[in-house]
Amino acid sequence: MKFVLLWTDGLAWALVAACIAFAWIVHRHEHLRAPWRRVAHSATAMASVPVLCVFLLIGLADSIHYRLALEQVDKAAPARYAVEVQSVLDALLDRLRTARERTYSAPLAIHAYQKESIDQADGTTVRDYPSLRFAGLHLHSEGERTTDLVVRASSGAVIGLLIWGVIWLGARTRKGEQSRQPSPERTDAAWLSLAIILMCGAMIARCASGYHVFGTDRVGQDVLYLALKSIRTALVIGTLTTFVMLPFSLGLGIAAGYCKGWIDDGVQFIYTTLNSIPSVLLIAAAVLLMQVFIDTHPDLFQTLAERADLRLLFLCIILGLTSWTGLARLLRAEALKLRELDYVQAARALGVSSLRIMSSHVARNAMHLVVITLVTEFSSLVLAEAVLSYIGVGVDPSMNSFGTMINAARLELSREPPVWWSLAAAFSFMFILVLAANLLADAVRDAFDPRTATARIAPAATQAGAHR
Amino acid sequence: MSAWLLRRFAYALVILFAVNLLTFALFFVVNTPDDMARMQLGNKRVSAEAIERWKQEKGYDKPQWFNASASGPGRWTDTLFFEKSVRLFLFDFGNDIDGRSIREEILARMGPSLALAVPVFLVGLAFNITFALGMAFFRGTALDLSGRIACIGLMSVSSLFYIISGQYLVSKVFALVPISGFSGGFDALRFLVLPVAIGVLGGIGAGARFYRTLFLEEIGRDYVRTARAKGLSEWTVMFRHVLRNALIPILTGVVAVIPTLFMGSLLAESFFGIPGLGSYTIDAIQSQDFLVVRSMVFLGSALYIVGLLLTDISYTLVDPRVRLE
Amino acid sequence: MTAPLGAGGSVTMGETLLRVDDLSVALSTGGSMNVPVIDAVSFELRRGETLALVGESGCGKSMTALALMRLLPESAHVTGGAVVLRAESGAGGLPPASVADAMACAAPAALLSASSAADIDLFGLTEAQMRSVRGHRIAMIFQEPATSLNPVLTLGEQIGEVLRRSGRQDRAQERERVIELLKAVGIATPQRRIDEYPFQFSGGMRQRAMIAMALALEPDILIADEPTTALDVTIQAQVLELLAELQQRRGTAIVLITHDLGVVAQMADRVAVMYASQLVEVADCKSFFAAPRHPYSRKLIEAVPDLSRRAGGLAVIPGQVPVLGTTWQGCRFAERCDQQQARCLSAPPVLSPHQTAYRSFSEAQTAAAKVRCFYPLDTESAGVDALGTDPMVATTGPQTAAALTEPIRASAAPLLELLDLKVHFPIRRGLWRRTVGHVRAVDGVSLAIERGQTLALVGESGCGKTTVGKAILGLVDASAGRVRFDGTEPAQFDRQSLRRYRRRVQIVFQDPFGSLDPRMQVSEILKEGLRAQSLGTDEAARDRRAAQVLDLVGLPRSAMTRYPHEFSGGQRQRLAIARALAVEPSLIVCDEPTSALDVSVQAQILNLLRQLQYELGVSFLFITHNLAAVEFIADRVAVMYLGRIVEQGAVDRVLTQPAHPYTRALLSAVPSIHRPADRIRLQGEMPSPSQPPSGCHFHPRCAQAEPRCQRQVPAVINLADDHQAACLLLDPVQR
Repeated sequence: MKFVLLWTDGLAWALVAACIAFAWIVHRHEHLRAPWRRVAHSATAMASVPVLCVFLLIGLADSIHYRLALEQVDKAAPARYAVEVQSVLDALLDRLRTARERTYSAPLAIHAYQKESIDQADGTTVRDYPSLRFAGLHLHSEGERTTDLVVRASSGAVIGLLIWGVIWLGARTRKGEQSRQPSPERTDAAWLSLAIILMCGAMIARCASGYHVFGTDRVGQDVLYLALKSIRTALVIGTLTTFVMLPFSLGLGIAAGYCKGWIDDGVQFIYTTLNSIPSVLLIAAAVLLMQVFIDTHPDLFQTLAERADLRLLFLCIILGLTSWTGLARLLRAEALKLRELDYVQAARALGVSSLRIMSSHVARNAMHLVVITLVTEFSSLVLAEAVLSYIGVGVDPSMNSFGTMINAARLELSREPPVWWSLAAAFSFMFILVLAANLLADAVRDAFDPRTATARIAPAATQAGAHR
Repeated sequence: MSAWLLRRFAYALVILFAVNLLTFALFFVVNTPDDMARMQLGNKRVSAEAIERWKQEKGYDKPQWFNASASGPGRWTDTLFFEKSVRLFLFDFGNDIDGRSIREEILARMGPSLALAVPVFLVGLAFNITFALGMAFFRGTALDLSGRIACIGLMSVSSLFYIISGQYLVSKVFALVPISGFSGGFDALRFLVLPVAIGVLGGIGAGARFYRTLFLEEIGRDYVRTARAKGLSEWTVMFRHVLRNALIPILTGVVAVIPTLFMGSLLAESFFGIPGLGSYTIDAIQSQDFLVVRSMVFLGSALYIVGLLLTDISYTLVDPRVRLE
Repeated sequence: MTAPLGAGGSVTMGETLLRVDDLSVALSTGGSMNVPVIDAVSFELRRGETLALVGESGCGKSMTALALMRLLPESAHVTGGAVVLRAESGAGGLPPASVADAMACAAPAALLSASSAADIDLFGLTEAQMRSVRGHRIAMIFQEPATSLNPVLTLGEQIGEVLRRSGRQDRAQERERVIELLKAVGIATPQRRIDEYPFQFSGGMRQRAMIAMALALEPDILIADEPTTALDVTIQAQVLELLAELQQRRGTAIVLITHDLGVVAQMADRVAVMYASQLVEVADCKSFFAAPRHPYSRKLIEAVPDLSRRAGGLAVIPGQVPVLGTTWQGCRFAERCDQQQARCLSAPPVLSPHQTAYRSFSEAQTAAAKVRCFYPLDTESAGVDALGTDPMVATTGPQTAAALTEPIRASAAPLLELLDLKVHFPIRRGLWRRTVGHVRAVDGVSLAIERGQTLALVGESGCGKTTVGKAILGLVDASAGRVRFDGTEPAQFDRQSLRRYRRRVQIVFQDPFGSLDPRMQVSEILKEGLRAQSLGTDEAARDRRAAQVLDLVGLPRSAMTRYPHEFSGGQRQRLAIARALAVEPSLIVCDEPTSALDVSVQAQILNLLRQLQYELGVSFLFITHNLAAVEFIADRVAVMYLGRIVEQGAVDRVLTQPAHPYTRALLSAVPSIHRPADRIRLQGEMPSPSQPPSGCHFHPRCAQAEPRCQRQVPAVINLADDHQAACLLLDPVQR
């Protein structure tokens, strides 16, 4: 086995490390923690946190890639590895990955979607719905299916609740007596949503071991597997894009606002120019160009996965190029405001260098904008990926993503009977992810934006500036 | 005022020129005409002659920036940059892959694009403002909260879902309107009802939520307290004072969008088969017709810049503080 | 619950118009917590009188006003008590229908006794009925005239919509009436100005317009919430005068909410002092200032800086104004009180009538006085009159600064000299952004600051005094003239020497909340300058220095690891001073360091500055609009008007024998509790520095201006050893 570190893997893990470091810093400083506390006061935000965590875990499991070693014929020869790159998630979902039907099948079905000519044992041929190869194999007769599903679902629910109970008890005994006091933080909402997730998850897992829970697509792949694999792509696009462009936004935005003069003029010119180009066209042009580059340099990529991954990274960068301007504009405005504040003036009077003022005073006090932008951009990027893939300028067609799923299934509704399950699975997974992210973003914006924060009169605020 | 406008206009031209340079660099320097010819001619093993012939046919055989072989001003004008980029300023776009004049095509397609985009824009605006005003009026109540959550829910649904499911349900299952297509005159109404409804629905979430925050921001201001202290009714306070002030950012924001309505909407047009600029753009991207894409980039940025100018002007019209300064 | 109005206390000013009974308001701060912000406040207001509601920030005085109008912010709500408004006596005001309507609904809810069935309990009204009270019976004006008017409606529309409520008037009539109102509040050319927008008015004019709007329906009661706090002293004088005049003419009762005791002394008939959400003293204005009964009131009066107390420190109330949410067992003031006794800590005193032995006031007046103290001050010597002759009274408190002698005067050359300093900001217009004019923020200022001394730079907002400070620090570039510091000229400095220069000159800003980076620990803030200046050999040395300056400004060393938001305004200002002191400067520019602070805290900071000067020999440029503070802290004073110095010299001379007409007007405009209000009226407002008047900048507002003042720029004239003024009228040659 040989580990493969794809570009986006590396960046994603670096991001996780950065987030943990950030969380640690925030945890140690009361004044940084305070806005996050306010986020925790929102029941909807707290309920969406476990959902996001589950998505994140799936995405991270899908971000450890390796190539399996091939059977060695000759011991002396250097080890050879499979061309196919697998991830830990693939290993976990091995059954779903390999359980490949011939073509469409409906969710939880045991027969295929279309009639086929079936060779009977006696040599005759009958046109009927063939049994699926990997669904309902344990059933003795067709009538057992419903009972079997009910049993599986209910046992799944019980298992889910049991797991939840264990976690809950564990957390409770660790926290001890402190947790008894009522607090405005809505941990109850988080626990409730975790219970629902675990129940649903266990139900799906129980059923998935015997059926295709979301059916299969045209080439017979399990739709649940495709949807789970798409999560990583969505997460990568939603997070890496803004992180890749963060240095640009921060550097140019703050420099423009703080230095004013020709630097400001230059930065404003750059972002007005970039903004003026319709973003879809800019992305399309860049993606087409990149495709030409990839096509003309096939030797750079060892595996298909690496090629697709590089395209994903490029897509992130291109999306970032079109989206950094928004944050840069906000930061510029904030820097313009902050540079006139007394503490910046005082730092100048103390002889502190401009670079240091920008990094230690301006950047630190504009961080709330970065946090708000990161969480709000996430969901719009996830949605944008689907649209771009539909237009044909999204991720590599060989890469699993919600966009490629929708794109592949877009004409299936016009079949008779309509094949709705691929679309339904892609849209509902995407909806759950984006809704959770949006609910969190809403609470984060409320908690971090000083304009909304002042609306709730805090005692300290009434103290300040009661008269000039 | 006029000097200021002139200044803004000059700035707009400079930006347009920068856009042009950028797209030229993207399309011709990074991606050479040779690559383009190879792609258009279909496979990788095209003979060098075939490429040359294609380039000559399409006028791509000239030097990029400077033509040493020509004389006089031709040294600068008889180049790719002049032919392919500077001509855009004269709205001379050339011909698309099928040999049709891009300018004609754009003019013909603007109508259907506007027929879809303008109703979506107007109905959406009216709907969003009303919805947002309602939420602001009942701020802090359960009504406001559920409105907010509904907005977030609507925002979280992919626009593809609105279109695909809308088309499936309304056109296919209930067969109320045609699935796709377009025709002139009043007949167009039949084709437009569904895409317009879907367009409005898709915009409610983000729009109403944004306007709500604008209204709430105004409600928190001192002059609103003054208005209440005068004994005005809540209704008067909302409509005469809050709405009037909040409309300034709303209107100026809206004005910036108006010119870009000409560009049409990509998804709706291509799904509903409306022969507008949006579907034209998508077709061009999918058939890799760079000349059309470049023309659309130019048109799009020109319209965006017109929007910026209009925003500036509308500020001076709507806001007395700017107008009288 | 409520007795008929006018039953309690004897009526001196007129019948009781409004009675507040045990009003309590709480603020919900997230979760289920309720923090009381007004705690059982009771007072009454009589027809035609001015009641001043006095207190420091956060004491609940503004909330009380909003509660009377039922305009509390959404997070606050009334938890108890009643506000009873006397029924209307005459005709006019409320339209008959709505009066009847209001009465019908209010009567059963208001729980009023039979004798006064027509009195209205405001908390018993519906919102619609309350609306007919607002504007008609009670009107309100606010602190910030800049934000309190709707920016996109003309004044005519905003005043007109009030009139429209009272009945059907046609547009022409309405316009007529608005013009009348504008004229009544002293707005010139109202026919033209009625169609202008608020931004076209200056601060003072906006406040006048607010007053016109409030008085449009001739209410019985006007609540003025810090109406002049945002205005300059000369404008403040104009607005206060207008209020007094209107009151006299219409008999409106005024509730004046303020923190400025000078304003109180000038305006009020009666005074109600609030501390920590409660009333602590209610008294007749004259007897209040002569013999304050509550220790807090007395300290408050003594803390106002004044020339007469220069020799010693200012009276200081130790500690800080309590934060909202504090809980008490005994008297809320006990821990800051120097008269504190055991009982004060265990049981809360109640507000009870109190007789003083002060002889010069009638029985009726003293009977109305109430005080919330177990051991109210009785003696005549507690009054202000006695203070002037006996400075030791003020310094007996344990926390008052030690008596300070005059700092040693150095004979060497001045530390800092400004020679004809000009700072002009270009105004660019047109296609090529050509400079079409200049904002002459500073237009030829010459000053000198001696070593170890304090120069006060006084002027109204917009006169350029802050720009002078910034130019000295090199935060803005001078357009012309020279800054000479200790024999060197910073203008010629390269980067390196500029940084070294900045070590010698430091600045302290006005706003204690904006001057410290909220994201930095105190130790980081204090060491920032040390690092930038590469002072101290290592981190440990810098830590030691930071601890040292904390000691100097009187903050505990435990402050090092905390963040700015954990400190109160006064403590933050100490931190800002500590930050400046850390790099051992020779000159500190103090830009309005105390004007954002409460009176009691202001005194602490002023005392601290004086003490630091005594101990470290540091010089101060004290930029302020507060002449009272100047009297206390400065050795020399320079008065600035529209970019130029009009008069400067030794404090004793300038303040006692002002020569320039502007200085005289400025001095007389300051409301003082000591001086009688004998004022020189200053017309109009300061013109814009982008188009200063020709000749003497002051001539358009000068009562004594002569034709030549329009043409000639006055030269500086030596009036005495250390006293110069720039006025043509003082020129002996010309005369």
